[in-house]
Amino acid sequence: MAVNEAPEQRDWRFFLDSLEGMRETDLVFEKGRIYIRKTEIGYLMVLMALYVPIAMIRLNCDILLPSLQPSKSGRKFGRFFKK
Amino acid sequence: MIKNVLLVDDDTEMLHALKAGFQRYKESFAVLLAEDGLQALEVLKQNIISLVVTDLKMPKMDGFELLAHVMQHYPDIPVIIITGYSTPEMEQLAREGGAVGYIAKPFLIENLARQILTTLRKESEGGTLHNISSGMFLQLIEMEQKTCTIRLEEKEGGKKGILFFRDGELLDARINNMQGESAAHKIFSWDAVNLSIQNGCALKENKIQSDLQPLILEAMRRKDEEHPEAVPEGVIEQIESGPEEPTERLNRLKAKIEKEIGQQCGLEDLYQDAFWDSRVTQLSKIGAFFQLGKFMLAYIDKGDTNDYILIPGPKTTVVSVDPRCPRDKILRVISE
Repeated sequence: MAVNEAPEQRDWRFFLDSLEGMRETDLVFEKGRIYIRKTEIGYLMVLMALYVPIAMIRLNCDILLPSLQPSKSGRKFGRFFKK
Repeated sequence: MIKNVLLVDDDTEMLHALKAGFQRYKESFAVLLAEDGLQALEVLKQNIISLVVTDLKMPKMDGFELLAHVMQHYPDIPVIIITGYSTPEMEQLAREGGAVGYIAKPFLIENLARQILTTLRKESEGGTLHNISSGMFLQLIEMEQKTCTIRLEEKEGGKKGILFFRDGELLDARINNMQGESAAHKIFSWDAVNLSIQNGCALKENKIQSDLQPLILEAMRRKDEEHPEAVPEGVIEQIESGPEEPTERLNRLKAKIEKEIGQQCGLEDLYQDAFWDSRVTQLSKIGAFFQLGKFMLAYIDKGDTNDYILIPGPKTTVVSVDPRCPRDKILRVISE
């Protein structure tokens, strides 16, 4: 699927802030859908065609996500929050 | 971050001598001058000051009055007293008034500089971070329920601001003479910042009523309005441009859902709510990024009792549904 700019060049902060508080989101556009699921390690984004049954996407996420391991957290923020 | 130190003394020769003497510390702090307490108040309004060093005996407004004013209006700014009329009683008064340091004249410039540097170091005792996005970091402060004072410097323009947190709650924000929510909106709109963290928060009173997240979203909305991105065509369009009243439109939508899907549609409520507008704007832009065309609607699961379907428009239409509703069917009916 073509995009306007490379994903790593886009500033995702505002978009991620708009997802605050959401467990799952299903965005419907004219030409496709985006399913977004909040996980332990970040947001999973699935690009879909218009008429994909969402139940199958959710089921596959439920099956696959537990096998994703969170990365070891660095010291970047931990050192500021010593108990 | 270069910090600002305000020197206040009616002896202008000494002021300039001190400023010249502190040149060697220019990598650590910059010096601003005032000849009396009233001038000092003006400087405090126009600049973010990290430390005040003040004489006691001055015309118009003396050091004790200035100390009291700073303690009341800028409790995060430490004050060091310098005086040529030092007595033990005077020192006790100054410390009881909130001064963090007391130096009798005459003194060595190096001694005063050392005390200034020690005091300024407390501002960064929690650490410093460079070139980060403030929004993400501040949400961490909220999540961890930290009590701290965060000093920020915008990387691009060099503007400075302060945020006060107690148990993760934002109590106040300050930029020069702006305070409260308007100052918070300005700070949150900065892209990349350097920040320093000071443990503890001198403020007790909450001057900001909103939660952090709505403040951040409002800051982004205001920033978008000031500097709108070029929005590709078809990102957001009104559902109806005709003269139909909102209530009629909502009733028509409700009737359509109930007719097409029946009793098990799971429809709980249907209303318009501008609270979602800024989120809808952000969500719609991702469609432009992936070239998916016009944003039609969003299904939101927040883990609440109900889920929400958002339909963009002049004011966002919110369809509140049972989480067990036939999601695909409802989305197809609404988007047709």
